[in-house]
Amino acid sequence: MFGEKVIELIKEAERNRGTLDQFNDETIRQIIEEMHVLFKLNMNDANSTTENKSLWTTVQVRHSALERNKRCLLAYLYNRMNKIKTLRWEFGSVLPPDVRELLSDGEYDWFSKYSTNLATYMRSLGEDIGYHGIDLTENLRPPKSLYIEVLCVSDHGKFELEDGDVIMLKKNTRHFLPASECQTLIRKGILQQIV
Amino acid sequence: MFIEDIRNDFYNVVLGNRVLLLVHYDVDAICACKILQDLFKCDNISYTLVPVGGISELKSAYDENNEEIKYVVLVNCGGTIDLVDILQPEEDVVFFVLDSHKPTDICNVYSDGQVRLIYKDDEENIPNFDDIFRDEEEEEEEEQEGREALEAVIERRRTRKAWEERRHTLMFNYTQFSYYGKPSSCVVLELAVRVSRVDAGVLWGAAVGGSAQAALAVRPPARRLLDMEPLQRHVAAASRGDDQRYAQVVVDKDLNLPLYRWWSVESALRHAPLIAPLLKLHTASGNARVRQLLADMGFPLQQARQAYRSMDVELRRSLLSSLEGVAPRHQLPPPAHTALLLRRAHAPPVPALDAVYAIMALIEHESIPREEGFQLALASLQVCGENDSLKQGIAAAKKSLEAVARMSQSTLASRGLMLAGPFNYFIVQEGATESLSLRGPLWLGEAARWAARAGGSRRPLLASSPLSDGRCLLLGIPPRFDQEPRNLFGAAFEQAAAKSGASVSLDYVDTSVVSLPIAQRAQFLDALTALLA
Amino acid sequence: MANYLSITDILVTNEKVPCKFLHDLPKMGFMDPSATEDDLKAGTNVEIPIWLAESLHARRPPLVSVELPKIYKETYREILNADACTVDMHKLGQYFYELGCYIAKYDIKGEVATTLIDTFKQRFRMILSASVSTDSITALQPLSTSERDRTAGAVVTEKALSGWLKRGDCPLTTATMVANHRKRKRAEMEML
Repeated sequence: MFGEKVIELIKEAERNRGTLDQFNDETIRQIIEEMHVLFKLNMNDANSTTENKSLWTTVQVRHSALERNKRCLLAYLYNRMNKIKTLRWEFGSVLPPDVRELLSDGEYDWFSKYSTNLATYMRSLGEDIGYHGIDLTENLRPPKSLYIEVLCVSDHGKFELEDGDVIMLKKNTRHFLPASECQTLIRKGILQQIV
Repeated sequence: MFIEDIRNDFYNVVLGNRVLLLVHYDVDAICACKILQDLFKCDNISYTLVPVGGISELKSAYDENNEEIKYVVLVNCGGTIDLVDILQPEEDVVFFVLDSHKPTDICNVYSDGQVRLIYKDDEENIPNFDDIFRDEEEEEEEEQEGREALEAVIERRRTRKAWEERRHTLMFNYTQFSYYGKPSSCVVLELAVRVSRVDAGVLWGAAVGGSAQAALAVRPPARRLLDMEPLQRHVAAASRGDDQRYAQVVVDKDLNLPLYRWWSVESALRHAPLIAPLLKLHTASGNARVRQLLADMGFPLQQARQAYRSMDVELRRSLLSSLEGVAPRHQLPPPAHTALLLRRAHAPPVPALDAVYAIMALIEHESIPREEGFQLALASLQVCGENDSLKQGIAAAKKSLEAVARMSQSTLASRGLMLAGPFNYFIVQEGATESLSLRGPLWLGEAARWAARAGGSRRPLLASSPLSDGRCLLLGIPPRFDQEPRNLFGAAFEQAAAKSGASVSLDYVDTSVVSLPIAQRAQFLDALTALLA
Repeated sequence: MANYLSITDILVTNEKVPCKFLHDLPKMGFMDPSATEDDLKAGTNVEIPIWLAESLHARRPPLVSVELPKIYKETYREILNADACTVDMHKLGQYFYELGCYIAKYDIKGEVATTLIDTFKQRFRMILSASVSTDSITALQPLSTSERDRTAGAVVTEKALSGWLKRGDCPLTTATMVANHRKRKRAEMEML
């Protein structure tokens, strides 16, 4: 039956809606090959249709299959693109290496370009009032207090504060720090706020 | 050196700076830490909090976190060791030590500003400076010719020897017994009063810390009353204010049965550390005694076995008075005591005693690692809001108390309490089901006290339980610990370790607790017997 | 209604429907599993996915005629009209509503459309009342995919509202994708 390989691809994308999977290079190549085969068959049959009208329906069927494959591939890539966009907003502009290897080269290119675009935009905010831009990827809710208490969930090593103090972030240590410093690490999941 | 004014010399000094808080794993330390945290949060003093279990952990925690830190506050650890020597800090780091373990190390007392002790206990007999330290430079004098010089030299040597002997006696007397001073949480309560930040949370923390000293029998009763007196004063003052508060700490007469509100009356009686050992449940007549006790109190057995909450209301109200009336007849100590309870709207009152056991169970849990238990214990002292960690702690405490009771009863029933010279001892076998619950010094000590009370004879008692990786924990309690808790096992262990050559690890802050490989336990005990005979 | 790039739509259109071929289709014999020849004769009934059925139906002249799948026929319609809330929607069809929208175009009488709307109304009421507490959610009969999504969304909103009412402030949390990524990594580690 036509279009079964693509459905596998789509099902893979649907299975993990919250995270990104490895870019499935292999399956995509197979699908494109299938499309080539169909196209060649169609070309042959189309050329011979001038004599035999009945083959025309077959060409129709194959053409629908080609369009179906195209649609599925595009949807897969689009879906991944959206997830990568969210990656920038949640992980920051530098991806951890295990996330980096989930992306294909083309996708990583796109990610860098998107990052640059976003950075330029953020820098331009508030320029007329004299600010050097606002970081929109940080927490957008106003904080309730200047300092917050955080619990370190995983070892992170040394962390430098704005005023030069260095803190060692080891598992199960608690710290009481200014909220602005902790935000990035809380978003990354290394610190956890204690209420 | 000692601090004179806790507010100006401690609190105002750390204001505006970053602090490293090193806290020991025990109930009093956790309560003091909670109060300190609340104070620091109000004044935006940023801190880093690291729990430490022993001296080596203290050292590693300090080494990791000491960059750019000027002030270190140690709660219930570090007072009994020479801090400057062990931690090797920089010149300008200041240590504030709040340790209820005594005797305080002499070097800490006479440090010139780097180590500052927050509280001075009057009951310590700290030797004078001149008696301990002698200026060595006096010895290097120019040689003088002649007989007068020789006589002078001999004279000097004689005085020096006499001084050294005196020093030796003084130090021996000073370090012979290890004991506990005023609970750290009460000291921090004083600080909170000075900065006028006393509220229900602070009072509750101090209440739990103070009750811990009573439950674990580490302070003589007279001193306990003295410690709790300021707390009760503040509680009374707080309750005189407007009484429409969500949470309040009150002083009330309550039963000295831990966790009875979350258990059934019969279970609470069977597992109460003050009452149950005297019922001699390890003997055949033990169960009959319990039934007799309940019958005398007028409680039907079926009611007594039900959960407290679903018991008959009338019986619940009369529990206190009936138990009081029945106690003398069964030779039990008076079961009621003045207790501090946390009263909250829409929740049953929580006695401080229950919170003590809950915290103990959380930090020495069977499955939860110590560090997570520490975080849970801090959360369980929360006064407002849903307190899931307290419930978890209470459930764990029930299990641990049951394990303690089972262990002691089986030890006594199987004559596991062995005599060895001047002391008794018992050993928890490696495969026993309770050995997991009794892995930590707090619960093992509880088991030891239980066995001592049930065993009847008042001799010093040693208890040992297996740790992981082939080592075991060994701790000793003095005879008549509820009257006179000064413990001589600390010094004794040190000397026995040197004599027997066993690789004993004196890592614990409480010197009466040591750990050693199981294989060397027997020879260590022999050396100890020889020492104390 | 169909978004070209929507993944849900692609999965919906992958569902099979029974169709009758109105013309001969040479070399397409493999579509009918019971056919022996290479060519597909007119008049054969085959189950093909909707995307193929739609595009073949749209050609002039139409190459197939679409029939209603079993679950949209008389018997099942009666069941749904009787009580839609007790039906096991997951077994019936994971994409019941969306597929029904496609099918309704081929239904001459228009009854499929009415059934769809009625079923949706009944089940929506049931989901809405159940989403307030977590216990009722688990007691529900299995749901179709879109219903499941809606339920999950309702639960999240409930939790957010009750959390806001209780607390009033919002603690900072880990970013969702980061948390999911970690969970998967941990699960993978445990499997190794």
